[in-house]
Amino acid sequence: MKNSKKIKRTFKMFAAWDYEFEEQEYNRMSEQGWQLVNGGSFSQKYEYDDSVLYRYQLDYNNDVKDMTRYDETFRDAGWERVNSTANGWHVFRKVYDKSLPDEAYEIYTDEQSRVEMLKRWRNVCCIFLCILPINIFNSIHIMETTDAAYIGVGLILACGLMLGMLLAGMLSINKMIKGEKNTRPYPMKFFLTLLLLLLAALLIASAFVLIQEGSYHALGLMCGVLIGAVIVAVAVILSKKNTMKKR
Amino acid sequence: MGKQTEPLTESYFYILLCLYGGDNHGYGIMQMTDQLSGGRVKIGSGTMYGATGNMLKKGWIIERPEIGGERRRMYRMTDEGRRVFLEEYRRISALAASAAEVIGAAEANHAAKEF
Repeated sequence: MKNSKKIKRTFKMFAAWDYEFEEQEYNRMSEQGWQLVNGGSFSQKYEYDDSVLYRYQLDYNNDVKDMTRYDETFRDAGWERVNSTANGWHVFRKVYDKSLPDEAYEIYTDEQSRVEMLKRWRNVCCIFLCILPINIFNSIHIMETTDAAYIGVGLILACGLMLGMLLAGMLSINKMIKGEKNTRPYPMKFFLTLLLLLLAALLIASAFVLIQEGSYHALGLMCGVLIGAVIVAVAVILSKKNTMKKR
Repeated sequence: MGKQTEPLTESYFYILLCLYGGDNHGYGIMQMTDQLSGGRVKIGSGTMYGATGNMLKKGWIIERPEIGGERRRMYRMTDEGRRVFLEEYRRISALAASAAEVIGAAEANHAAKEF
């Protein structure tokens, strides 16, 4: 049975503050016989096995000092760590048993610890939020010193878009910290596609300027856009699978 | 007044309570809490890891050195943990005593009126 495993990949996007929707998705897939092997906010890998049903929980902890103590604490209560992402998300699963109460499938059972987890995540968002405005100032500078001002405008738009996404995320987290339920998933796909299109357009535009005028400014711009694209790509890769455990 | 001023959460209180009688491991504390509270208070693994982590940092508990080939990590309460726990116990007892006094008086008053 082991060597004839059916594998399925999905490419669903989950904003990090929508982790509850991500859990629901994994639970739903498990009910259909697809058991998560590798979870992430951009792609997911499943293995077919309809002999078991799991319930999933996500934990955010980027500061696990003692991984064995962490794993032990969860394992003793029946939780198995499926995988962790490089930026600090951990996916856990537990075999579903109808006779157990719902609370047996929750890893955070009191308000204080749940809020502590959300605050850990919010602090990381804060760091990103502080970096972005620097980029915007940089873009304004580019706009003022180059002939191709529209590229600067594009850069500001891209930064603004990222800023907007982060702010929306922070607001969601703050709402959840206050105890309000997250009811609607964030349209991650839409904003990310828009951002990538914008970056691609900028790249083409700056390449065009470079060919036409051969100016160093355009070369600088192109590098800037490329760096932006690389940052986005790295973010995608980081939040993707990074299986820590071979099964 | 000691250093501890904020009330403990129920999870923290039960974890310390479960260690008061002797060393225990995380899972043992979860089960004992469930039993002692009659199923009212449950401690999940995420809550447990965070709470024990904080308590280790504050020095309320320590990881007991391994004796023999133990399968599970055991926690032990420190003197500081005992002090914090007892202080909280006294605080809660004082609250309950105040409440009992007022409720008792109000009920006696009510009963006298009805009579």
